[in-house]
Amino acid sequence: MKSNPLTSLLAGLLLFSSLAVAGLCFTYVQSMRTLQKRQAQAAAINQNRAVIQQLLLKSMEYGKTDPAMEKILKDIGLDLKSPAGDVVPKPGVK
Amino acid sequence: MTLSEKPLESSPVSSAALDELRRAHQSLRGLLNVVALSLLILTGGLSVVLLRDVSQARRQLKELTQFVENYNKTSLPAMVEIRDRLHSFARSHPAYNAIFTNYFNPASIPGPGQIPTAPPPASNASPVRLPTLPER
Repeated sequence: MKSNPLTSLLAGLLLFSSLAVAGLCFTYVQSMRTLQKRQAQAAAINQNRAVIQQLLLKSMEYGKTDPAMEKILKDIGLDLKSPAGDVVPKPGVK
Repeated sequence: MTLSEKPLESSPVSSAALDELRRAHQSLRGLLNVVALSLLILTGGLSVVLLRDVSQARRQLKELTQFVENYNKTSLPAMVEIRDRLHSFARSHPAYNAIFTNYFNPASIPGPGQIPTAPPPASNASPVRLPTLPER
């Protein structure tokens, strides 16, 4: 039986393309799994930051009644006299 | 004797049947080419979409990885230090301890300077606790 070159070429290209799609599907699934794990970590980090910020806000409120707390907050870079809401500690300040 | 071995050209009926078979074969081959071409276009399009999505996912992954590494290097030690200082303060000030325990479970806090690696037990969880990062 005579082989048609066009059919052979198309079949070869189709095989290559199918293999490429399968490989890409696998890579996509792996990437999405890793991405979901990282997104969960990022959500946990944001939650950590929110919790710490809430605690620092409460501590600043408490510091208004207790000078000892005020000293600790100053040590970690927070000044009760600074504008409200600035609860992010200065980097490197201990 | 099989069909292919039969002398089909010997009779006019067989020759007509052979022509018919050739036409059918050509038609089928054409159809196969069209289907292969269609599938090729389809898989090509799918490849482009997947490639774009994978590229986007990798970009996001790179950003998030950098974010997490940055947090682990800078923010987490600072937060642990703040927690440790406030924890030691809370131990000597019962009034503040009530506030502190709303955010941290003192039983789950490791020694000073130690960074928690495992999440606290679920039974000790209060409404608001400092969560720990899930494992990588």
